[in-house]
Amino acid sequence: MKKLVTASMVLLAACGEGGADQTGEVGGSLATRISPAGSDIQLAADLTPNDAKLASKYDRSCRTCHSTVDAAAPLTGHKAAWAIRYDAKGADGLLASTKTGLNAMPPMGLCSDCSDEELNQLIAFMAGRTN
Amino acid sequence: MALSRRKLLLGGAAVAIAIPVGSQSWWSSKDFVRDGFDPDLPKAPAGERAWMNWSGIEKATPKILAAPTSTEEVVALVKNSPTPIRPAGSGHSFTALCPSEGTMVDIGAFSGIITHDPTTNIATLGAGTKLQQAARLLHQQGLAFANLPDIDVQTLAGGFSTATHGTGRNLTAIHNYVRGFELVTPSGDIVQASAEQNADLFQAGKVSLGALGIITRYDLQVEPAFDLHRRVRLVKTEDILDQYMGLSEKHRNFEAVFFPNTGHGATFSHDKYEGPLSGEEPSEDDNFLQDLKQLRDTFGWSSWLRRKVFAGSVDPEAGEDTTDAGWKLLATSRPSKFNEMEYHIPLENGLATLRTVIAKMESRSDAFYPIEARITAPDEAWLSPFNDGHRLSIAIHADSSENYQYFFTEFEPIFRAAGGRPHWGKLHSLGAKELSALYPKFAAFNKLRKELDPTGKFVNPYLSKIWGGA
Repeated sequence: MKKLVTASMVLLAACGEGGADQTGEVGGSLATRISPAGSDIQLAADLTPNDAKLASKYDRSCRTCHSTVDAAAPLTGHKAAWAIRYDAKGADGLLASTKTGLNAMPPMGLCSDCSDEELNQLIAFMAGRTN
Repeated sequence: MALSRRKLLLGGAAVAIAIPVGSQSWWSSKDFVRDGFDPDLPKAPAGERAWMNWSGIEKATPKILAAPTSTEEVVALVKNSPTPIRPAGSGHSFTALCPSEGTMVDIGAFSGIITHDPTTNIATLGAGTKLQQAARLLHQQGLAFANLPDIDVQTLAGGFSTATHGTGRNLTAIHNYVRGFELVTPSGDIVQASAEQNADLFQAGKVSLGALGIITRYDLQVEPAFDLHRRVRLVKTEDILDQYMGLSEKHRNFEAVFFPNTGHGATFSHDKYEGPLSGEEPSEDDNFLQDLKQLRDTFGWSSWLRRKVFAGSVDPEAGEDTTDAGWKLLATSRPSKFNEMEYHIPLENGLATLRTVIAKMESRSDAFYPIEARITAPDEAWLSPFNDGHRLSIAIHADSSENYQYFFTEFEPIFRAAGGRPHWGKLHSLGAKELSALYPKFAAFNKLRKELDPTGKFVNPYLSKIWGGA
């Protein structure tokens, strides 16, 4: 379905909670406070893992959603967005979410051939927690 | 007129009426979640993997979920793996094309640009390349697909094999970019197909439903990269319907969406552009979708009030003007999950059918998802829905947690009566008998399929219905 329209009806949010929770189990209100800035969006578009094999898997699996702000996934390199997820779930919980799928993310994050170790490395890379 | 998204956000002027009239307890207590809704992965037996499609309505626990990295591995898989064998792309089909309790094959490792011939502008790409990845990689080389569908996470093989399309009266569905492909047949042979080599297989394999084997790479016609100017306008439903055909002839890409029980919709046009780029701002589309849902949740009990609140809440001048690289504007990711039925209607029946569909949808107080209308140009693939002329594609949606069975009972008969052909990756109830009547080349395709797959290795229960038995 194509992008809808740009007019938004703020009043309707007053009728209920309103808006999708785009952070999984973490909470939409918190996510609002850590909305990515333009520099975060550009950084997500530019970053790629140093390791060639990991970069290949990132490019064909994770990048489509985690480098695109409209996908509503936490952006690669947007440390603040990832920090609340680490705080809420820990690394093991993030791995588990990736393997089962979460919100719009399919199981295994579209990387059927990723090992647990590779998924952990990809999550850490996207979270900006690698050297 | 340059408009930014943020300028279109409105104040809360109507909150005063929203709160008291929104307190219809009988409506607000209504539960829209459908019976049996289960968004979780199935539990797989020990040693097996679980799979489900994007929207969560198709699930499987295959004995093997393979991710081969070479053509030789694909050959070994089709020769030795438990059947049925089904290729699985990104899981964006709503029909049960992919599920198998035998073997599912993810060719995601077959990704990226392999070669590009600058004299012909034919690029060879791995068949598991995601559309967005392909578009991004092509752009880095100054190249582009002529068009893209509105969702871009599908693999090339998945998108082509289901005749996925964008919009544009002079633009074909994306499978028409295929100039050749490499196929691993169900018997394990590696076959090349093009207009000059295995010509029947070529015309059959462009839209194959993953039934002829596993395609590992494509030769694709690409063109120099281009920029687009996108214009979005909020328009009254009747005005869109009156202008639809003219606008579809005026613009390179044109489509419209209609918001049920609001009296409004939106038009989207894209035209070639040269000049400085404004760049795309973060989309408010998903928030708008949630607003439509909230409008339904709060005022769904009164169509009149729903329309009034909508009209009083939106800026009649609302719109957007954006310029950016074509691949960035034509497609997007969709965070909100839905289920969808789409039929491709012969153009001469298109607008009348669209009016009927809108009216039918507006008779349902629970509907809030937009209805979408796009036009696609013809091509020659045997199972292309567009192989007999231009068609107007009409898509209806429902939130993934909500009822969609009424698509089959209330809308599919309308689409069928208008001569519609179903999108191969979206919900429909047709089988071999109906499809044979819709596609002159259906029998030829099935004959070729049986020659390649005489024992039905690639036939799962869904495809058994499509082919009329293996």
